Amino acid sequence: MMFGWTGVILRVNLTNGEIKKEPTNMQDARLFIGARGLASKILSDEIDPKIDPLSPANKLIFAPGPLSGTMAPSMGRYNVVCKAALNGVIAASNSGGSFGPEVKFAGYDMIIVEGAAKKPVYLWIFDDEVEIRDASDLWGKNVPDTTDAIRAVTDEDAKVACIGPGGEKKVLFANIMNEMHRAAGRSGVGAVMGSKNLKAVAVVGTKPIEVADPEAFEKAVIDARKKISEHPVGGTGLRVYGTDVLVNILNGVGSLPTRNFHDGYFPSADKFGGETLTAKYLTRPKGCFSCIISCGRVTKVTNPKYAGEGEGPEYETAWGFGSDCGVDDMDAITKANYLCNELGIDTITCATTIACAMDLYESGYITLKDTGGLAIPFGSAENMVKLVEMIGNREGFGDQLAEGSYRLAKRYGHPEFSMTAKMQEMPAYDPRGVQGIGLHYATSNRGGCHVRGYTISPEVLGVPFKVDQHATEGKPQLVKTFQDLTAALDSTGSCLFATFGIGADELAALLSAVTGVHYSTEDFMKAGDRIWNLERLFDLKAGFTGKDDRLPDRIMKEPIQTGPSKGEVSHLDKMLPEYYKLRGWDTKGVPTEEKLQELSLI
Amino acid sequence: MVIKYYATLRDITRTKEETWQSPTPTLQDLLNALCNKYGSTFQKWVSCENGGYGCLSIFLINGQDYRSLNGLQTQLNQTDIISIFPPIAGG
Ligand code: SF4
Repeated sequence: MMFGWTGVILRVNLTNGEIKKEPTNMQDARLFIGARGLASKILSDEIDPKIDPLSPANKLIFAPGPLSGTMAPSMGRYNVVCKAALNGVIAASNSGGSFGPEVKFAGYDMIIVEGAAKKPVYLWIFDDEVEIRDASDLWGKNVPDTTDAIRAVTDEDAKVACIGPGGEKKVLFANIMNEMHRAAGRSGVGAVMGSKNLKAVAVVGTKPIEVADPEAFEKAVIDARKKISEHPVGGTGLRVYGTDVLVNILNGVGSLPTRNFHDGYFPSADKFGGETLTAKYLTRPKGCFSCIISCGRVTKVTNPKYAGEGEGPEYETAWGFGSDCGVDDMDAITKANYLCNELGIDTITCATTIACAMDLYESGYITLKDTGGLAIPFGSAENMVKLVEMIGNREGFGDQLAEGSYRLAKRYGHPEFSMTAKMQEMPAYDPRGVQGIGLHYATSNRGGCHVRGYTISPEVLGVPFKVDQHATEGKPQLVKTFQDLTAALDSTGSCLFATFGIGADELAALLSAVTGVHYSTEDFMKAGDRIWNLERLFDLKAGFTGKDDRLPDRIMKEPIQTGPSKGEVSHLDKMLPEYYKLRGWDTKGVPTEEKLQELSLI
Repeated sequence: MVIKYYATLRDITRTKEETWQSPTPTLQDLLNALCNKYGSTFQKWVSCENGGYGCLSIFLINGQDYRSLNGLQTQLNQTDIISIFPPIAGG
């Protein structure tokens, strides 16, 4: 009998319609855990990292983890793994809700989709029954309409992961939305799904997940729940205010990127912070499967100009459409968020690409002729909202923005205006004001990204301990530890926010109890290190080098202009060599043979 | 001196910010005075289980974390802006 893992992988080839069920490679499962780790191992083994991500040769893997679907707290996450449409790295885009657990209940450790269908299709999975169905009627529909339509003809409780018009039109930062409001947001995984003519995956599962040691598991669950619920952040903070509560503190320390990273301080930020969201927009909090935190925000905008209902904004989204675009109108910000979710595009890259366009426009490099008559200086809330729709549908000037800020800025002759690391847009923490996060952005295996090495916890929030945000000393080790921990955590099916109450000790105990494979804390962290190096190897084979471990010149050379971090720039160069050393990489950022041997990667 | 409150501390103090004129030479003096003014609920958020302040709450003095200054003994001036955040997080 299998514990934690189901032992079965579902493989669907859309080119020839073949559906296969294969045994999970258990040796790899032990080493790479599941979700992000195990799916990345399979992708690395099965595709050439140099392929065109939008070609049928790419594979799209929907991967929950061995803890997904168990009653351990906050285990509703899954990963979508493929070669990224946006920047060609290895993508593992993480989403919550209940889709991941449902895949497990249906009996699968993951679903691998290969090839490409000739016409639009969707996948319908009811336990062992798997069908490729025609989706011609669904093509063109937005995310909520697609979800409703599929539920109507399958099962009203089906968990549906789908693309919107953004994915169909291969917007390079299209996402995959599950249960309407949860996003596998980054890297353009939705464009890869669109390139396969796959509109949706709908799942109903009825099988239990077996646990190896129920007694130890119960103990570990009680311990983890207690630690999360008693922690002031996990227990109350996130539930009451959501992630958007970060706006004021990041602004307070002068590290809220403003107007395409020209500045790190935005005087009217409070207007789109979590306190405002809670007071004026929040209908109720919402949680993913088995979550006791419930950071999700169900919200409503009543202003007729931007009226709507939906979920969000999260901190990243409020920042992107807020200070990064020079906008403080929360109605417009929230509407932009709803539109992104309906169209199925990533809020972070969408917002920051608009910010980049605003910057190019203010500098005179983009003109009214280019935009089709749309004036877009920083702060133009109304036109920002219009642009979101134009991007999602690839209409007019939106078609250019649908390629992301890197290609946009290059097209207009000023690549330095793109605030990206490895061609993916950096998120909501200014790396000039918070040194460690800058090192993480530069070295993240998927490009600009905050969730794979969230050093903001110690650097700004003081969780679980406080370090000086402006210092560089000790940051390489901090970044490595956070990256390894997160790689292992993402591979279990856990939510990152569980770490506001529990850490590697508790996760290793849960994983051991569920799977029956003993993981010490060291084993767990080593698995994270292994996964990090595996992803690095993919990126190197895809053509990236140590030279790509960098931040934009604006971040390295132009100091923050106002606010508490005024005068600061990133000191990446001081940290990178030590980081390489700690990782066991050579001076060019390539893992050494000893390191790969130590991690059983060769 | 201006004191700004965030998240749940806004509900407890029923204000976003206030101007403070009483003499409070250090951050510790100010926190003592604020705990007196706003009572035990406020105190619970800003203090530590075993006494003292700031185990999880964050105090910024003109945007600088008090721990990178002189801690609770940091001297305050009339022109300072003090920001007080209860424990928060996100991502
Ligand atoms: S903390 Fe938030 S994102 Fe994480 S599992 Fe819970 S509700 Fe979902």
